[in-house]
Amino acid sequence: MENTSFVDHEKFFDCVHCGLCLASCPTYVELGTEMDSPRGRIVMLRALQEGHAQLDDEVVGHLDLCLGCRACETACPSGVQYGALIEGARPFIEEHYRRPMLERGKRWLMNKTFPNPWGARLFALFLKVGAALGLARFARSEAIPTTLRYWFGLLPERGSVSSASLLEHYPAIGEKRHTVAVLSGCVMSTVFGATNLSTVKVLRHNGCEVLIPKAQSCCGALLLHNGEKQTALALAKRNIDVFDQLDLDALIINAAGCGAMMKEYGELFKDDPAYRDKAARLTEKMKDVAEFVGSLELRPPTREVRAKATYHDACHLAHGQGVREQPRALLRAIPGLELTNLPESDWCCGSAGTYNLTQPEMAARLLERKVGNIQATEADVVVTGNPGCLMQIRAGLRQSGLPITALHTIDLLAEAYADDPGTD
Amino acid sequence: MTQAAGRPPSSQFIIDGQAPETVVYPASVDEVSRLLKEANEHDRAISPVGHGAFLHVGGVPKRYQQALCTTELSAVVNYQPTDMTITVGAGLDLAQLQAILGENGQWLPLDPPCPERATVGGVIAANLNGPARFSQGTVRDFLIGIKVVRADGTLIKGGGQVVKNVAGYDLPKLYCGSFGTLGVIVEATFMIRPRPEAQTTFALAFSSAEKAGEAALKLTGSDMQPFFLELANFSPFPSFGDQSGDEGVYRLFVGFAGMQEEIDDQRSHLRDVLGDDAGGIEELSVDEAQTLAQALRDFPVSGPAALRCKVSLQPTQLATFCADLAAEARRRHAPARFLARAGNGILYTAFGGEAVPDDQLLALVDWIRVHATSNNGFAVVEEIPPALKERANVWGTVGKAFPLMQRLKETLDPKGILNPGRFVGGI
Amino acid sequence: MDQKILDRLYDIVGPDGVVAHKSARSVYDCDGYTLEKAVPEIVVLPHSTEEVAAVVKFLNKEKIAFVPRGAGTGLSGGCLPVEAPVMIGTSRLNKIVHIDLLNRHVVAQSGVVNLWVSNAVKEQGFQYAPDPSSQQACTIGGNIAENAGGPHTLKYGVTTNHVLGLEVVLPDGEIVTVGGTVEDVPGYDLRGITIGAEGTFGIVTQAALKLTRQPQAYRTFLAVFESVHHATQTVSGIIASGIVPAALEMMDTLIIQAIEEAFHFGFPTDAGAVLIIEIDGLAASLDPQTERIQAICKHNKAREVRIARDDAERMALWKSRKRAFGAIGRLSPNYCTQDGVVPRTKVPDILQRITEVSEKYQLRIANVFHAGDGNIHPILMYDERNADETRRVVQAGKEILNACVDLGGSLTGEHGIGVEKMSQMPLIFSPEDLMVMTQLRSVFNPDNLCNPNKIIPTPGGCIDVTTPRRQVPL
Repeated sequence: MENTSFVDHEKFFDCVHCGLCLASCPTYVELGTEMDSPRGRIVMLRALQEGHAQLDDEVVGHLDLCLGCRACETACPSGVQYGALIEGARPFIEEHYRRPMLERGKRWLMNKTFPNPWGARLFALFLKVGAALGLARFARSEAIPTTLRYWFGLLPERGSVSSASLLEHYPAIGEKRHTVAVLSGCVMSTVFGATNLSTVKVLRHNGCEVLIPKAQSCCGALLLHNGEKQTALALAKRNIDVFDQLDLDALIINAAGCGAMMKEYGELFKDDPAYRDKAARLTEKMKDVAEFVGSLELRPPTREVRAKATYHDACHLAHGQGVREQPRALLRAIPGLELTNLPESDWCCGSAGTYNLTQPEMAARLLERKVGNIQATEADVVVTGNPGCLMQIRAGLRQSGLPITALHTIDLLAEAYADDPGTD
Repeated sequence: MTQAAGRPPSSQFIIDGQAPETVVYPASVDEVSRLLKEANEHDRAISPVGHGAFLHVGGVPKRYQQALCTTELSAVVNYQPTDMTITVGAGLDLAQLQAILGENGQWLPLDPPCPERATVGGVIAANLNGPARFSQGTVRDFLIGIKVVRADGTLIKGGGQVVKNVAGYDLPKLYCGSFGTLGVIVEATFMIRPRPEAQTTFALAFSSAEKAGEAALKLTGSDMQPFFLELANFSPFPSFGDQSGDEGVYRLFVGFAGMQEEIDDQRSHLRDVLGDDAGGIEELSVDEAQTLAQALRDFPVSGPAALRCKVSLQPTQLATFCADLAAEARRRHAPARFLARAGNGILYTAFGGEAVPDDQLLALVDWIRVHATSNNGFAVVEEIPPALKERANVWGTVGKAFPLMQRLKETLDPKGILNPGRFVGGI
Repeated sequence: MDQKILDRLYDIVGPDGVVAHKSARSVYDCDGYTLEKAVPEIVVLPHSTEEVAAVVKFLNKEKIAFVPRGAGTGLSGGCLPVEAPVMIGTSRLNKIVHIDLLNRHVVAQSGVVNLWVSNAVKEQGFQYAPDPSSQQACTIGGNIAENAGGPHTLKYGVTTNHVLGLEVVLPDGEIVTVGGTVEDVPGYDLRGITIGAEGTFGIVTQAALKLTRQPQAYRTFLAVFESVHHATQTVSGIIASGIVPAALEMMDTLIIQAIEEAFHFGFPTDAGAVLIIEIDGLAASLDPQTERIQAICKHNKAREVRIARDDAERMALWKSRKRAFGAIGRLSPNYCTQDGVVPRTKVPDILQRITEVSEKYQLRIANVFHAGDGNIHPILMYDERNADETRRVVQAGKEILNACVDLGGSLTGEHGIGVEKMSQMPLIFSPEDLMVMTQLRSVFNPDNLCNPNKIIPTPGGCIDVTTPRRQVPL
């Protein structure tokens, strides 16, 4: 038997096959097939590792369909590290399995785009041009292929794209309480520049000195999801080097997907003597922006925001980082804002990193479900903590013609703080 | 057995005018086995009988040669108060059983009519219950173990002595309401409950069935916990208005039971839940409440009636059904009294004190059945002159599941010696 | 499997309704009972009752045996395909068909997850009372097959007490309704006998379920004891005092430690036993009952009695309890849980016997159970890679169940007989009892095509499981 080991074998034995994860898995609930459930995928992964199963279209299809939302980890009573199992298998699949050509092309493009500053700018340009041309309106046209239609649907609308050039250093407003750094992020900095500014604003209003080193890079999450482990590790090392040399109280991340990945740096480098300690040290300091601001004694926001809001739990925040209550508490602190409960709030919206690009059909099904739930709340604003979710949900709301806005938690909170002429 | 050949049959054993040739009183399970084995070999039709209080229910026997009276199987086999279970012989009557349990502040939460004339076996076989079913449930909810002698004389058991048990098929359920047609029940184990510490009853009067029905639904939709909830179109006792059912007043009787604190709390909230439409809410004295409880409990078998039907509906359908049926009964000059378990959707009706012509009775049965089934409900004729039973089809039809029931009967009683003709579809 | 048969199944349920690929169907090789495994030759996932009926009718015609499966969270191997080539899954029958709050019932398809029913009526103040520990994933159909219980059955009863009627596809493909949506349906209680038949009477496709009002208020206690003995004394004391708690759950040291590691609820890991006691009902009734319960706990030397401060704390406590089995995954690669029942007063005796068994077979056994019902759940820990240990687990499990029977109890309180306890049925049932069960099965399932080799041991040929049949999908 050839050596097919791709993950610590003991990890499989955490799963006692109880099945409590099943109904938490969006793909299982949508399809009703055990192969598309966490328990089923673990059985297949174990069979792969033990050499009992072939890496064929069927098996890869079921593994690829995993959103990586990790809702199953929340549901699991045994503490199975499902994320580690599936992420561990991805590079193995890329190495040993040849996808159909179109699929390979798609993946190559994505892997080249996100980690590379030029690629990211290219991507931003694509989004901007797409938005400017109003390609989104073709999303409902019968004349173009379904996949393309879906991709066009994801394009932001004219005017909603913002990149912002950030300074490397911002002083605290009022009494200084902490020194923090912010991960600017590749998608965040090119498409959600305004959110980065909001992050800085809220942090400063709460007494934080903010550092944003230019030398930082992409977190590597999207690469890892797509099985490009080596490139992902290289990027991670660069970030560790850049941030570890600063004297920080916290490293703030405002994209849930990046946060969930970076919090695993410690685990990723645990066998690398050169990076082990640095990675562990930095991991301790990583905080999602809502998690961090929520842990501070909040300086109360003063501006009223009259709206009815509902909160969508980004998978990588709720399941990946266990951050659920803090964003809600921040929203409740906004004067005038009414917060209403979203049914299935921690159900994946279908964005899941680049999932909506690789699995458009399932992504669309989940989006439809999400939009239906949002609509039922009769909220004016849906709030979440991840750029992928925002793009996905905005596309869904637009396609359904609903007059509902989707915003990042920190954008809404920033609204409620007085403008500071020094930063805007 | 007191007398193997049997005593001369008394009126207690007459079913629809038919008297058995013999009556036997087995005093042990072995004797029941031997009797059934013999009867099966000689193809002798047997009806298991307790005190005979409910023999008017069911179809006319196809054959009836022997009455097997269970009243001597009345031992308390096992009673562990802290286990909250009791095992007794099937011939023990319910009043005695409750008295035994009462010594430890416990009871079997069933209040069927005439407890001193209802044996445990009879309660199970005829699925007897009373007003408390709203809060407590029916016999299937308490029966956890059963011993039965099959038609061929073999003793079988299902369930056990423990309150939670899923080993093997749930035989106890099968025998609930099986009407003595699948075997003779000889022993039963029940899960029991603490007896409520206090109890009280409220009486409310309404000018229409609909208003009374609405009030009942308000209660079941609230977080009140009525012990029983009974809707009647007559007064169950003379000091309390017209007993005939003709005055057009509908009464709701709401019972509460439990700790004194619970009763006090519900008393203080009853008005808020019912709203102003409820009119007068009268709390009964202890004596009145006791008399009432008995009258509600015994209604399905008390007073003269030419026709009694039990109808099972959705609770929301009850009021309209009652109002329409009252109009129909007036049209047919058949005085009608109704008593509904308002929270369960169960309606007991009794028609006529004096002679109502046969064709009018059958027309009423038709009306009831048509209206019940069109609402996905069921109607059973519990009492009617025996000559009309066949035409009235007392059990009604049970649909596509009937072949399964037939096969069940053929499996457990292939020669058809147990209560032949008395159950659904002539089983 | 014969291509013609495959083709016909594809015709009935469509391509997305058939799982034929080897690696894919291998994931259906067991449920939560992992000691025995068997891969079905084909898995069919129908989209409607009609499709179920068409599939079953066809299989009946071809005399091919089949096994129904819900979510596969069972703990006795009830959906293990033993000499049954086809598995029929209900996962696509997942719609709540009708909610009638005024008449307090819900009509749901059998693949609906238990918790979805309560969630659908929660805002309106109702609940579906049976709450098995797997309620977040297990299906209504599976609950019906096993007559599932849960921690709150002490007061509210088990599945059979909450089902009004069933739509069943009989093993010949006929669709029948047993029971109805009203309470009293004339004829034999076929619904009652179908519930708990572990899927051997047909495939339930839809059910009318009773709804219960949510209690006005809850009070949940965590009582900590130095020993299991004191905890059991407390249970008896509470029952004897005339209180019917909504739940009375006990956990021993080992399970407390596992749960604490998993959920950090704040359980004292050095305690001999803890009791979770819950009372519910009218708010006015809780204070007087609380006083009694606290007095009884104190009398039995409780180290401390905590009351959940709010709903969040109560939910956290229940989450810990309900996920106790799974938490064992943190202590041991595999576990096997037993489900014996003893009369409530015999709980101390059975715990003593379990300790002896644990020593005799050198196995770690944790106890978490429904103390109020006498329904014990010893959890036997093992590593399936250790063949000797696996054999010892099987033996020890049997010995524990034998002890339950000796004490006047039963083999299973809520998990079912399945394949696991089939060989022990003669311990509590006579040949005549087993004969009548076989005959009852024949009434519904004359050719024994529907879920064969379950519950009733084959006369003369009792399968005695001493080693697992197959370890991993090969």
